[in-house]
Amino acid sequence: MSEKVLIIDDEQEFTEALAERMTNRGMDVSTSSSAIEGLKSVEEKSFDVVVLDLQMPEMDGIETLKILKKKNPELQVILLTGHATVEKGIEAMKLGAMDLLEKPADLTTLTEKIKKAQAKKIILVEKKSEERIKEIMETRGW
Amino acid sequence: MLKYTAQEITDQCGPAYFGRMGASISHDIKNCLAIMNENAGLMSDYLMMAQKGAPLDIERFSGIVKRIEKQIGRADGIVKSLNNFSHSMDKPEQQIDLDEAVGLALGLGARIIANKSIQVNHTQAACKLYVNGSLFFLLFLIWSILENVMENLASGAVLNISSKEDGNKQVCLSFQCEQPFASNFDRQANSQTLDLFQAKIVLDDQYTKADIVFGR
Repeated sequence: MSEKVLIIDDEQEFTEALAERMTNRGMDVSTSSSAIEGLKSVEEKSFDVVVLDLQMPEMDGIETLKILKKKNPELQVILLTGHATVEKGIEAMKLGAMDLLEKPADLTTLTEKIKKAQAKKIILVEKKSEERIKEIMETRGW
Repeated sequence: MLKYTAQEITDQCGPAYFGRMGASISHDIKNCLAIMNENAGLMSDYLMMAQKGAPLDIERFSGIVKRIEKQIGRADGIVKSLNNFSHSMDKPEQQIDLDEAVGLALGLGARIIANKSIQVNHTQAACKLYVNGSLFFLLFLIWSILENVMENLASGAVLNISSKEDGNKQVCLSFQCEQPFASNFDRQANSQTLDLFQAKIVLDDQYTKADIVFGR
């Protein structure tokens, strides 16, 4: 099953090239050049993983991460940043980011992390479905 | 009134300003490298496919090369600004082209300005205007005022910066916006640096315009 990925970064030439390379590797990739546009895409389409830039105009990566995780806790987020500080990394992890990579990122490493993220999302969604079924079974008393 | 020496101001404010600009510039350089990295990777992907027998799309390939060249030019400009900034402390006093200094200050802080979603327009004077002093302190002064102004502006605001010679033949740098930005403008914050240029800040009644008027 191909990984459904959304890249959110204000550097359009970066997102275009990265998306093309990931598509060549069999992934289903969408791009957004701002956090606002990215949040809208997540509402309209289902994604396994969001690759998110940390520093963007209008809304930064940390703020975007908070909204993404609040709206869709199962969604996996990998942060990409020009300068990864330990402080930002810890903050991102605490907020539920799966990983933080520094630019320029190695595509093999990013691909591995995306695959892991997709697997993690599947487990979380399955777990949530099981809990929901269990809850229905208990409340309905079948 | 207590006057500070240039050295004292450098010791007090220099490292913070250098650090802030350094972080902004390094972020921009990383972005250039990231774009070059992905496009070089894309070329490599196409070459690999060509080696396996797929036809090489020359037009597509040439487009990727152009994107890399564009980023090399962008990175070169950023590094040139960094170099000019690093040498800005070489001379304690020199004749400075005001508009060149504004351009440099804006270039150094471009990422910070972009992150605030504020559009800054710089209109240069019809003829060259010069001020005397340290380039580092002039950059610091311009940036301090700019940050002070941006602090009070909403996202999407347009800030116009222009230089001119006023009626008294004094060189003047204006920061102007349609919405008020200066209601809590901190005049004291820049007073030490203003003293070094024998300059003063003049605000309009609506708090939409701040002029740095340089002494002679």
